[in-house]
Amino acid sequence: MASKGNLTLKSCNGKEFIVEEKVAVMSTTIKNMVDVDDSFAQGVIPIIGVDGKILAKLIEYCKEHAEADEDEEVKSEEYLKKFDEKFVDELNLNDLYDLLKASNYLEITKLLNLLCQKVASMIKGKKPEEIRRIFNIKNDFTPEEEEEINRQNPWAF
Amino acid sequence: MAKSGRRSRKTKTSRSQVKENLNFLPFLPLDIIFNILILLPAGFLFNSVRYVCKAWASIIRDPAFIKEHLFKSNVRLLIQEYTIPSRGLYLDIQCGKFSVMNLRRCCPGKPIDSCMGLCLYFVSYKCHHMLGQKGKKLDES
Repeated sequence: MASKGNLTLKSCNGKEFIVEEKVAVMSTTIKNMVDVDDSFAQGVIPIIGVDGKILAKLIEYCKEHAEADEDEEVKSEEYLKKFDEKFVDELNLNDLYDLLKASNYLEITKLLNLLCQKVASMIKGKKPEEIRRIFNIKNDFTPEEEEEINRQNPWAF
Repeated sequence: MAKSGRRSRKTKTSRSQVKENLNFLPFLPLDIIFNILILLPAGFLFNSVRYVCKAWASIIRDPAFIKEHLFKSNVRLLIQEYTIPSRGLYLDIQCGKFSVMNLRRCCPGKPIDSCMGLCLYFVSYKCHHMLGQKGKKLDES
């Protein structure tokens, strides 16, 4: 049972995390749940489709940012920037993918933007074949269709 | 000998990477892919990203995406003399700093109107030019 001001989040594989409310409400989805229904604030909030490993990562991120929002002197903008960089650099592709989905579902906008930036930087400057290889995407164009896109707007760029 | 050994190790890692990559981006919800692609420059989206797969191509073609991309891109001011032909300059304003960029081509005539990053020029009674962002020629009529 969480004490006052704390919330208990439960991952889809049954792991429970007790976090401060200011950390949990970095997620707009959780904030809306708590605002609408007080019983969530006392009980356990199930986080559907997010496992313990990913939830721990999410909480690590939200904790740093919630603390920084509260006290700018202890955690400066520069500190946060370094933290963000390290946070995304340490992720492998699977975690990046799971975190993207989780932060989208939980509406943690800052984190979602950070992760999208990371993926965009992985794509940037690459040829279509390279992008497909990195992300394991199947080329579903027929040669005729590829020809067709080539014909569309030949004047631009 | 040493060289070939290194090469075989390299193939091994790339294979394990491929395995790790399974189920990545194509299974992400389209709105996340939208949020990722919107961060990339227009020229790159056009020349490379739209060839990746059909789902990505249709996001990029979507008028909602194009509009959003335009609003997200840096605001530039186009400065040009009111003579024909005149060289134009772009003025970039970012984080309170100014930077000047030369327009790639001569402005073809008198500017008539501009809207959403497109400029229309009067060249002669038979010919109008339209320039897009970065001064690329889009159309002539």
